[in-house]
Amino acid sequence: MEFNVDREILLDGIQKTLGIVDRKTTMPILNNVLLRADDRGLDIVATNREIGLIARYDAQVVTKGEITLSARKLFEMIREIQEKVVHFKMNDANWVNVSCGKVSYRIPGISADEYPKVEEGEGLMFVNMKSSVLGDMISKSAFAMSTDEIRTNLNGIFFEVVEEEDGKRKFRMVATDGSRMSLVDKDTGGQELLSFGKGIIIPRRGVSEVRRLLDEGDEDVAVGVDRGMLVMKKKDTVLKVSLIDADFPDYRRVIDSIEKGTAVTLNREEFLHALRRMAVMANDKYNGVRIKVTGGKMHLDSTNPDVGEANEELDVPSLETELDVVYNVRYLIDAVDVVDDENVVFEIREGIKPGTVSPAHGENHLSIIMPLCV
Amino acid sequence: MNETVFSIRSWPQAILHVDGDAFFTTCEEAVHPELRGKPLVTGGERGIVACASYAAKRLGVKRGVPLHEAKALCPGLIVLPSDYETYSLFSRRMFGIVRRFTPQVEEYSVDEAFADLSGMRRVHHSSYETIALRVKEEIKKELGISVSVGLSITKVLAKVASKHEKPDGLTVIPGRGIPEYLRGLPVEKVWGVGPATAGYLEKIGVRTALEFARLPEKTVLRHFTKPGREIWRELRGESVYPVSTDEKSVYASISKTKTFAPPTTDPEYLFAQLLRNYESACIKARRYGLAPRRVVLFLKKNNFSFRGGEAGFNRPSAYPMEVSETLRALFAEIYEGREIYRATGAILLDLVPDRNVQYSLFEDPVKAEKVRRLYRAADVLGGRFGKHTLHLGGSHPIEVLGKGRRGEPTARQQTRFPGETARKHLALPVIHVKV
Repeated sequence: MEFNVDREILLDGIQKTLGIVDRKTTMPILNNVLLRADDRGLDIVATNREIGLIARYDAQVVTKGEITLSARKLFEMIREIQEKVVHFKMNDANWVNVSCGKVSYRIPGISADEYPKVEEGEGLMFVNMKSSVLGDMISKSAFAMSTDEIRTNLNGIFFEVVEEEDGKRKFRMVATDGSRMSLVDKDTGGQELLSFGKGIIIPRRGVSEVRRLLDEGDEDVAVGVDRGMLVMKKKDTVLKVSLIDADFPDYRRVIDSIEKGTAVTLNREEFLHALRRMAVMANDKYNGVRIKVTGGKMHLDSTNPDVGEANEELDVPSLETELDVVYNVRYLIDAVDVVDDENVVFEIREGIKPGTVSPAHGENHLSIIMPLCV
Repeated sequence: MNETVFSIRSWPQAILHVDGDAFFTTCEEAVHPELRGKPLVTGGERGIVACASYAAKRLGVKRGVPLHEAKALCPGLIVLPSDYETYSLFSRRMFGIVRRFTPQVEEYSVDEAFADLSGMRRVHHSSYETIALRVKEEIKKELGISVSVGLSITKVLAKVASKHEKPDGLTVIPGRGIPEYLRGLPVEKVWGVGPATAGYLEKIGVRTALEFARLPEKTVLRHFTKPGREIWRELRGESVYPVSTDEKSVYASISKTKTFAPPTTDPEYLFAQLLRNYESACIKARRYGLAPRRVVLFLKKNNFSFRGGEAGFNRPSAYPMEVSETLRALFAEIYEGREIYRATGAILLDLVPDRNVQYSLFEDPVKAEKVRRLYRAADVLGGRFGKHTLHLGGSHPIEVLGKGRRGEPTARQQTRFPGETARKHLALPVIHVKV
């Protein structure tokens, strides 16, 4: 195997694999990326057996061949190289010479035969979706995913197709950690053709790789699902993510049980900054913000015996009700932060009933937050 | 052999260690004077020797051996049920006596206390040795129990001293006298040195406490981590561990274990025992306003091997009713039908303050609040009529099939009035009249 490749292209290609290759693995080969040189150019393949990535890059191939090398070491080497073109050459004993101008490295590889197979999802039905819209859906739901490893079914985003009353189909993403939830519906294209059955759960680590792929350029992304895998193709890159094999909780029951509350319309920026000022007092032990509505004013107050107190008042002249509820301030900030509108509608319910945050106009995007019981 | 001098000053500070002699049996002897000097053990309800009196020890009865073995060794052995209420009463009074001499007293365990006597010579118009002697004499005179007392300049050395002569001993190790006491002392007898450390020390040629204390600092830094280095410094007379008077109020975990008799295979009864332990642990957690996020349950087989399992909760909960399903599933995982079990235990982990409760969207908070109120009431009932007055159906078989205590109930239990709790009964002295 021998080829020349542009340094910039290679650096970018290796960098994209660093989130996938395992650092803590019992199989040393999973620390490696597979480099495959053939007529079409250079393929860089990475996998941790849950997420797989195949990306094709332009390269000047002298002789064909394939080898796996440590992703981390390759990245460190290429990053420090200053020249434009990097030369790779492998000898018979799986040793690879990486050279560039007067610099040369010699590193051992592991045979490509031992690398887990990553298939490109041939024969699968793909539909095209708008990258930016899909990426936006992820931004608006991902924050609510659980980080608690025990609750596997909450460790990801639930993705399904829903049919609205007028018969129109939309894609829906839902994420929850049990105490808060975020839901967003969008028309990304392709929803007429693709169905996820009872829905799929994209795992947390997969979500960040998907997002990275979607952020690269405006091209549409081709999406297909097969045997527990989500396959996404964009330009010369194929990303495969193993889905979480568990049942997502019955989120509809939560939505259906939401009663009418007291709605307050607030300027998103103002509300967000007010909440952030309250969050200064929060730590792991005390994270509550008390929201008290009385006489057309909304009082925010956050008290932490270890830190101090914060107080603020917002005018809500239209409001005549009296309310007193405590929420986790970080949950509120997360929910308000992702709202894509100048104004947010914050709907409060008295007692231990969830509060909701949604944009005043536009899309169907809803965050639900359970209050704290003090 | 040149003598190492660890401390030039005899009393840079004075730390006293008071250690009850065969504490449980000594308390029994104090309450039942007719038993004094007889071979006596407690632990009748557990089927093993919890504590053996010195007379029994002389006949070869050791702590932890099954009662039938102990009886074979010593046919006239008197077996008593453990009367923990009485022991803790004696314990509290013992600490009270030590507190007359200095306010800085650390209640280390039920029968052990450390006291910092530094600077108290002038107050008591006597030497440290005399104060130590007076502590010991007053405990003996007022409580009728003997204790061994060690006086030295660090906690580790004070403990070496109290162990030096037992029972009823008084050993004083001033700064200059350290080498003399450490010379003959096997290093594994030092407080904090376990079998693993001792084994390691032996490999580097250290067998006695003196050899350990004499190791050069360089060697100690190379071979040991923080605990080892601290013990080394304490042995050399440099006080590292302070006598801490703080009462324990922060818990990393709470555990409750109970051995019952006879051993059983019955899953209903076993689960009842396990659940009761869990309920007990939760009572304690609620008393401190804490709630666990994780739980470990374990079963102890008749051959003393363990089998345990762990589960996490969706949110912290100190209310057994909310998690009984999880506990039952965990029990089903660790229970093996053919085995015979003798004890069960529950450990609450990841304890967090039980306030600012974040309920889940997928549960019914009204129901959860009801459970909370229910347990508030249960705790009030418990305070009035005894722990577990209100308990889960799953732990009820204990009330029906017995708590698994064997032997006679203690005198204290027999004299309890109807409706009186063990805690209330504590305040009453037990008058024991032999006719």
